[in-house]
Amino acid sequence: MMTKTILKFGLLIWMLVMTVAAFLYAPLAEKLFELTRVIYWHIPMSWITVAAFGLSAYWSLMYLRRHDLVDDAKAAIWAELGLIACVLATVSGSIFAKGMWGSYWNWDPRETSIFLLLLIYAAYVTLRTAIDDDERRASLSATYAVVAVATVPFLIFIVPRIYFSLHPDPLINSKGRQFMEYRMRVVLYSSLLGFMAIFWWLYRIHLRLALARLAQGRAR
Amino acid sequence: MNDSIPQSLADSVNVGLAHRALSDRVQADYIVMAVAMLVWVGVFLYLMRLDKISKEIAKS
Repeated sequence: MMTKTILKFGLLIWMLVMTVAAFLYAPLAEKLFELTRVIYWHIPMSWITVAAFGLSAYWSLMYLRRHDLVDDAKAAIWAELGLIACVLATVSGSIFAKGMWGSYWNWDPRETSIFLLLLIYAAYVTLRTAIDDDERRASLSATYAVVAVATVPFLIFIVPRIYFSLHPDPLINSKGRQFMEYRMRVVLYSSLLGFMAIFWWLYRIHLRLALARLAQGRAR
Repeated sequence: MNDSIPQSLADSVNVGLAHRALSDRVQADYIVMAVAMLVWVGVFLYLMRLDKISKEIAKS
């Protein structure tokens, strides 16, 4: 109990130090100037989006195999958290676009693909709210999540690399090299770790509530 | 063509940022940093509250 509280306060200090480092330690990138700082929020959100949708598909597959509603709850939680991360990545990307290209939205291939991804997972959440029966909702949404995740690599990694894009070269690019300055990478990976911890915490809170709801349903 | 004339809106934003006085930039950076840190404290307090409520619901 005490250890968990210390870890939580440690996370707060970690994120505060990361914020200070993003402003005072990491250098500004050439041509990006102050917009460089958006990177430390935008890239972790994009990576967490992909990871969360992947985890949602994994737990959906587990549900289809074992027919355990706990697996379905885990799949739903990760899809919702992925959707939150996707919205935050889109918003931070739009702020970056406004500063760089003068407009919040340019229908760039990367912006279009993230918009499609948002629609696909918003449909997943809508599907879940539209069905009352637990087993039926779990089966249908698990099948949908497995099909939906197939679009993620296509929309995130393939489409933006086929067409001309205003988006800067991704950190892990087609040449498989990192072009960031060392201090920028330190702040970026610290930010990624902090965000992963926050999303894990959110997942635990959500799961606790979902398990309580399931236990209540079984008791009836 | 004169290189110092911005050719696009994005260029003009960058030129504008680069031409700000150092004291203005530092002051603006500290304000934005302070706001970002306040947001983190707010998010943390909200998560702590959610954590506590979820534990109470799970117990009941």
